[in-house]
Amino acid sequence: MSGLNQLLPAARVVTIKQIVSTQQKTNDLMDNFALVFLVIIVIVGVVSIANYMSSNVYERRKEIGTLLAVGATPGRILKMFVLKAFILGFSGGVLGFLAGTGLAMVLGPRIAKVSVDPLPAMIPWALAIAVGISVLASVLPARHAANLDPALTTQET
Amino acid sequence: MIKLESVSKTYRHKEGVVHALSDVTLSIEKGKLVTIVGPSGCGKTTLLLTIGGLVHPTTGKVSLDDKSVYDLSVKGRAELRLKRVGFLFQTFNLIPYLTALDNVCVPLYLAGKVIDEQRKRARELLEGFGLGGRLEHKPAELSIGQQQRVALARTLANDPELVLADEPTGNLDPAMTGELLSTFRKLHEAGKTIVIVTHNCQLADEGDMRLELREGRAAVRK
Repeated sequence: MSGLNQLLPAARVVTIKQIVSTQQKTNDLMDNFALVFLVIIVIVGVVSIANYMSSNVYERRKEIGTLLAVGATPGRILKMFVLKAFILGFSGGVLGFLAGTGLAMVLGPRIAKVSVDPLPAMIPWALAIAVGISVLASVLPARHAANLDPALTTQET
Repeated sequence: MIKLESVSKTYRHKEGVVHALSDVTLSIEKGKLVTIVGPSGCGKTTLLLTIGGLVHPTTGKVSLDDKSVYDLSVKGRAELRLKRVGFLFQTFNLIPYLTALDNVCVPLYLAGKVIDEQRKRARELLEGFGLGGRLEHKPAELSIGQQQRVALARTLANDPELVLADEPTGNLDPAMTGELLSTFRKLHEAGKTIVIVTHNCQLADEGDMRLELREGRAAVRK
């Protein structure tokens, strides 16, 4: 290798192994970036959904108290909010997948000069992650709703 | 029969202890109309909610037909409220995004009735209260009197044997109060046990029994 470099001083000689290794390092770096972004997105998602659900429980506390007073069990109230989180997560997952794929297909060739094909195999993952995050973030607010004291909340004006 | 034995309820706040109910003992026979009167903050609502299984007394026992209400599980008390007790609130507590019909369907839905049965029963009740033309209206689109009637229809949806009303005339004008009074008379005649917390003298005199509360202590005045 050093002999070749001396023979061809105007050129840089590298082996295929070195090229593959460099490409591999670049790919690993991109994977790590993607992972960091994913973690940030998940944390932001959990916090946003938890915040939204907490506000929703607070705004609807009189309604929750009324439902408990007319005979709803705390378990039913819990289910009501978890179901809402499931629907939000599922809808968000579907819309997010469609919007994300569409944007990548349009912007990929223009910005990064790479063509992007839809990945239908990712649909179950997208939905599972979106629903999982939404339900996980809603568990505490939903439990809070189920444990509200109807004697206090029904009296609010 | 409703029975309260030495019932007390104490609330602890940062500012101190509030004795909402102190050693209340009373019996209400089936089919009676009872009114609870007294100054604001004397424990009237606490007493009503305690009877209805919503406020766990600090001490004492509340029983409905010889069954201790607070020995039931949380689920058991919810079922009791669903099937045997109807609450009527001063501010109606209608669900704002549901129509009048759907508001009345709520307890029927919770009781597991099928949708056709829910809507049939809700429609009958609302038509009985003269709201046949307002079934699809939301609470904000109804007058105060109409909202009160929707709330009353919801209270009666599962045909409860016990109706607990908290200041039901508090937001009504004299004409609407008269209408509500006549509805309570009809329910009383139909054999329902009715307990009403009120400041309204006309309504207070209506009952078979008038209970006066002062600083958490109860005295039967009639």
